[in-house]
Amino acid sequence: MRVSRRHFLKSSGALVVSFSATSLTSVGAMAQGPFDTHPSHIDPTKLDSWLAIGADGTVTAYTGKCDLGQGMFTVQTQLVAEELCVPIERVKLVECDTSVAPDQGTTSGSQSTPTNFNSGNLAQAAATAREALINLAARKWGEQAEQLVAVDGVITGKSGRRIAYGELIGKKSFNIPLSTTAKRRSPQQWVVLGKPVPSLDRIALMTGQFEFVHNVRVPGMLHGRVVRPPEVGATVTSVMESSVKQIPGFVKVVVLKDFVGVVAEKQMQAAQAARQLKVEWNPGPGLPAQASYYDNLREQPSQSTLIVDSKDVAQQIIKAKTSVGATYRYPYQLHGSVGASCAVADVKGDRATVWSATQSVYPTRNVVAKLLGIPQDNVRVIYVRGSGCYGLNGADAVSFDAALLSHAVGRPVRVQLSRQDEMAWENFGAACVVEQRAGTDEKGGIVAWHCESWITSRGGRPGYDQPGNVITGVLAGYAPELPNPEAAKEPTGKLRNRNNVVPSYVAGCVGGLCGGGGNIRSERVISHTVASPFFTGPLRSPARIQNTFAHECFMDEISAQAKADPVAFRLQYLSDGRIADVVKAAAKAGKWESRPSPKPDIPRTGIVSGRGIACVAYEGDNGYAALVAEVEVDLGTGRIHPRRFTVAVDCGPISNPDGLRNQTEGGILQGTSRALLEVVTWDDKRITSTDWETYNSLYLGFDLPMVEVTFIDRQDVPATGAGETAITVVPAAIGNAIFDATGCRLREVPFTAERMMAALRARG
Amino acid sequence: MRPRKLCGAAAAVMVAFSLTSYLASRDASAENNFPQNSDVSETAKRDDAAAAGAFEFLSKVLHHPRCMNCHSSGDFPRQGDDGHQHTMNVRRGVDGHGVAGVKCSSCHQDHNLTGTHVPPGAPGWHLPSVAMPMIWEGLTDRQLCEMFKDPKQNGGRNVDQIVEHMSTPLVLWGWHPGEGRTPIPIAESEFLAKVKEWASKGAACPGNARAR
Amino acid sequence: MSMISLKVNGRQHTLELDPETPLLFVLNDELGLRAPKFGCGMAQCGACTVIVRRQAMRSCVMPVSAVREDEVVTLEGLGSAEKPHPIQEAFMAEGAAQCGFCLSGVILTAKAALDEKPQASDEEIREALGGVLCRCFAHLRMLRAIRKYADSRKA
Repeated sequence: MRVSRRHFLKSSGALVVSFSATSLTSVGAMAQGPFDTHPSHIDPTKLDSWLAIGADGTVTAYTGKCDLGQGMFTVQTQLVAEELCVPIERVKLVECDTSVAPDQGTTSGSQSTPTNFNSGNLAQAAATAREALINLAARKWGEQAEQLVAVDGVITGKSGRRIAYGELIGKKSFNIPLSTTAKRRSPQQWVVLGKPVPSLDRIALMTGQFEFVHNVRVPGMLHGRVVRPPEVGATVTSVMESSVKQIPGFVKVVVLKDFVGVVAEKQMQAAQAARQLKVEWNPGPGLPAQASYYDNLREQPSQSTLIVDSKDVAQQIIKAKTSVGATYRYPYQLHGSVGASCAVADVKGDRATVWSATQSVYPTRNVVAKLLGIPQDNVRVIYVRGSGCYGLNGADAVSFDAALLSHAVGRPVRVQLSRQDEMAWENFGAACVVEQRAGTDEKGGIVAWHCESWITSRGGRPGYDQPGNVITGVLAGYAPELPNPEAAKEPTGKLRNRNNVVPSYVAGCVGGLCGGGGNIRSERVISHTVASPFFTGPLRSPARIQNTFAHECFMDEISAQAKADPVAFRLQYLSDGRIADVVKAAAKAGKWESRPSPKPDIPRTGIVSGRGIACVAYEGDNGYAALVAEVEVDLGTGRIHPRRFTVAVDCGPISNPDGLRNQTEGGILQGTSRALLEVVTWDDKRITSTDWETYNSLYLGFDLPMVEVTFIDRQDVPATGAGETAITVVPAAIGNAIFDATGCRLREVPFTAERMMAALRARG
Repeated sequence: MRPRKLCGAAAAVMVAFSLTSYLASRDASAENNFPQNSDVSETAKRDDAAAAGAFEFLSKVLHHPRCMNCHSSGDFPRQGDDGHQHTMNVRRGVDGHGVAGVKCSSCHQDHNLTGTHVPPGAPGWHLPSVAMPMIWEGLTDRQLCEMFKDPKQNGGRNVDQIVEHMSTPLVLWGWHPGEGRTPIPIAESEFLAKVKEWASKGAACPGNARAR
Repeated sequence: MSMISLKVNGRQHTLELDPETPLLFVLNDELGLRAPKFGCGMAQCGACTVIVRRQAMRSCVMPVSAVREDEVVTLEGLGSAEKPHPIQEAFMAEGAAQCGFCLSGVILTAKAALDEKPQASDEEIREALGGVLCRCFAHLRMLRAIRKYADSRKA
């Protein structure tokens, strides 16, 4: 049911009048990326689209960035309370409901903080509102705005007169655009932002009251289950409805090209129908063998990008006294949310409401409209938290599943994916191969660095119009976005290291403009994107973790050849002061023993220990982290056990240190699980890692390492993202520590006990 | 502890049923004899060679993964046809029903469930206790047979009670283990017949020293 | 379909159900309870955990008929916002969650373990949690919260 913005807000005590026809005049002022703010039926250039003050002084704020469990709800509430000088309790944040919140694309990419916590969007709106209120009071009293003070939602004038916000504006709209001159309160003034405010959802979560999308129930709701293909690429030849019609509570079988679903009164009945339904499938084209996949992917047609090329790398390497070369491999990995995805859709004629854990409510709205052939304005998507995701799990696909089933039966339908549906068909973290070679001089110093990488891709986030980027869209007949094979062109424009394809130690110069983190001038970085047989998606630190693994391990290999201390060696080549600072901070906090790797006199039996370091400028400039890992390796079994992590993080002015710590710790442990255990597996037809027995993960019983976190809280730079920074350096830090402990270099993730034993045997 | 009592009650009912059917088919001459030790009843037809041979046959079943997975060494159960350690660090616990917070019956029901990689089930799903772990791994047929017959190692059972035990649902589960698990390949009826043969012919143990 | 009598969080319910219905579906769909969750439906993750007969049980594989006359306690039955259980308070104090989907498994498994063995060591607590998944990896805070609760019980 579509609730108009006016109606919604009337019922909550404020009046908003800020509709405009989809305004394109402001488009130029808005960036066009997937994480940015876009015009829609809600005009993001108008203050009333973001904030409303009730007669009772309640501040209602609307945001297009949602809380997935990463703390965005709490920290945006802090932001609004801070800028508007009201207590946190008085702020009511409404997130990601397409009927009332602005379109801010996708909550992802470590972009929510840069988007809403700097000078645009929500921060700008809150600052604009504070100044507008001050100005209103100033005009009312004939005083100078500079002499008025706002505290706790009350403005006090020089004369001592006081007025509360609700009395000042309540029931009226601001009717002004976001101000480009509105001044943010400075970090030195912050009373609630920047403070470790406990997350506002704790109580509901711990007492089991919190509503997840899995808990949504709608009157008249039915239960749906999907029937996915038995092999990758299989297509439907026939569906025998008679095989399930006699199940009590059975309602309908829905078939749309290769999309197959069942609907029943109760969940158990729907699950039984899905199991029992007789479907004949054409076989798929078969899958490339996993054992040779890394070689296979390098031979595929590729969309190639030359990022930097000083044109002299080949000669420099030939001329160099020695060189170091290595190839690194990183597998497909899962988002692997604990909860298989779920959504509820209520489609009635040409109108639809979807309760969804999508991180992209507006793009999902548009794609649902496309799939159902109804107008976008008739679709309302309401974000309701799902199971923590860190990228693209089944949340979007299941929203499309629910919409299609509800459309077919004319009643609300809840779809719960099975564990197998979720794991076989989510959008995996991409497999990646990175081949590097560095020329080194007589002292082992680096004179040139060549880096070539291959990464796989199929689909991804559906965006505003690409249903085929996830499984449901393909089944319904849409094509996924695939790499477009083309040869690399000459690089143009200043370097933007968005995927961390470029190692931190090269200068990253293009046409005289240098955007890299280092000072090595002889550099060539080229990357190839090839088609993946499986759906891929932006799993936490996508491409960035794979590339950083390769670069940071390789840097370690070079420093080992030079018999140099890995920390000191890195600092020689870093020109970016913020990377250097986190390296120094982590080394200091981790009591880094300055010496080359590997450790001298490594025993041949028993348990050995070592330390390693890795660092990154996430996306070149969106957060900085350095990590010292101390691990133990059992030489008898090959088991690797991290014992201590010391991490230094710089993400600019910190919005909530408690939330940041939570994300950093979680990222380090998730990185440990991915580094040691996680790998998607398949046979000649299908994915075989389809539950927790066949896909390894750290469980809660894991003997935890100590984790020490140091934050560099810079106030004088923009706020950057922080959810993906720490995880990016974990596999490399562990790999380097393993080398330090054993003298063995593991170049393929995950670092399983089998791989460790094989490397130990090879070492002798 | 409640779960054990209830399971015990259920098991007892099962035992009673199977005992009834067993008795009905039993050799009448041994019907009223329940020897208290491993010596054979005076009235049974003792045939050491046949009994030993029967046990050697049984031994093949006892070493099948469906049995060995709960009778292997270590303080944990095993799973799968390859006998890998039970996932999720599940442990035996002192009484064989698991440790604090993780009991066998936290996940295992009294019947199998639909699908693969889901917990199998039978009434009274548990491991032998620490005090009487019934570990068969690495034993020769003779050693296994001796353990079988020793009330100090077999839960206080005499030979006839051993025979009853072989018909309990937990044991017979080995022939209906649920999807994805290979059932014991020897027919259930043949197994039970061999058990009875072993017992009725004097329950002698094999002499050879071949370990499995 | 049979008439099933079920006691959940202190309240008695009479429901007409297929007795093989997984307890989880009954709790979520018939009784509208939020806390126990469908994570995998295969007893591999613990998101569905409830307490029955003082024991942590995985309700996704437990047929509702297996509950019999015993009481089912879900996370929301353990304590409320107004009157949280001490273990819930410990989790709140430590901020021991991110998305929170797994909390039934974490909190109820820990509670069942400590109810049986109040003196459980850190290693025994870890053993109890060996089959519980948190894929946001909020482990550090969770184990701290559990230790805090365990220590407060002793006091």
